[in-house]
Amino acid sequence: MESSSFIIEFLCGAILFAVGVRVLKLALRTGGRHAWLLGTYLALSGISYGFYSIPLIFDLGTLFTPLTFAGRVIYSISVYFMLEFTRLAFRSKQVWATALVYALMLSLTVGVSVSAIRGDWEGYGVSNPWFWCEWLGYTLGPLWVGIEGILALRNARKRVRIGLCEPIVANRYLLWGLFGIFQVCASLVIVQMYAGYETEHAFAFGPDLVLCGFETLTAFMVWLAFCAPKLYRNWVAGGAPSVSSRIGS
Amino acid sequence: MPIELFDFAADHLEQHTSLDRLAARGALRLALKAAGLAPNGLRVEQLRVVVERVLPDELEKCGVQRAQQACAAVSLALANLPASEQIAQSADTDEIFRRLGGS
Repeated sequence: MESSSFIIEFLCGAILFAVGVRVLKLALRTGGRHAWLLGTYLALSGISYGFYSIPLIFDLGTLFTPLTFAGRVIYSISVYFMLEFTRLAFRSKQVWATALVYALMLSLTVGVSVSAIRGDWEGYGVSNPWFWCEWLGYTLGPLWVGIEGILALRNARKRVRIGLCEPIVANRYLLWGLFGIFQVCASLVIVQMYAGYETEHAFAFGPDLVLCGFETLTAFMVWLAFCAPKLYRNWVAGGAPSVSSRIGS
Repeated sequence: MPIELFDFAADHLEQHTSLDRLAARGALRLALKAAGLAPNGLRVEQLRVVVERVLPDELEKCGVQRAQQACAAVSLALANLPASEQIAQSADTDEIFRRLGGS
């Protein structure tokens, strides 16, 4: 079962990477800074899943530590892009948001660097206080994403009613918010998983399965939000008149 | 010289109703809140929709007579506002998320 859960993790990474590449292509076409940030976040995040899961799927032995460390560094860098995207999209004029982005970036960087220097290259040592510094960085970021997504959804629903927002955009806020919330849930499960690994040197079946579930949900939310098939988009639109037809009517 | 749309609309609302400055701004704020919008960073089209569809109810709650006509006058003033006098807005969050879906 363990290796199948790593295969699922790898597939989730592949989905994130594919969606990231699609958003990056969009950025190339339109030149939007938001698309660059989001696309880079998703693509790097997807790559990091690969670095984490491949040594476990193929039992690569001596390569386990360097590949896991590489995955850890790439994931941390990807979170920088997610934080900056969230700030620019939702709170571009608020000073506190800039401070939060820098604080979380610092927390991640210091957490990864110091715990690695102290010998914990994989970042699985929950007894190491620097692990928590890193954990806060990659947990509070998605929590912020979740909160902003749900808050944006609340106001977007009001705008949908008077034709100032497309239903698909409101739905995208919902999916993006759920993505953040499922990421936080995954981070909470990771603590239990890593605690088990520290003592048993193996990932426990239960938390691993739950983590797989949350990772699958996050990948599904991202895919639906940014690559939704036409059938889904039509279902969400539900025959609502377009925004442009209502404005200025 | 660019002007803030919220201030512009509130000033016109005050002129076309019996409301004082504070009450006019308050009613407009309530209408924006009900529409899920903030007073900062509004676009003319957004504010016109709010003025035409949401503000009349807010004004009636305040006991304003001929609320529809007052709102129509404010909307017309907004429609006639030259583009050069509107503050250039950066893309709002709705527009960012709309574009990210490739639509």
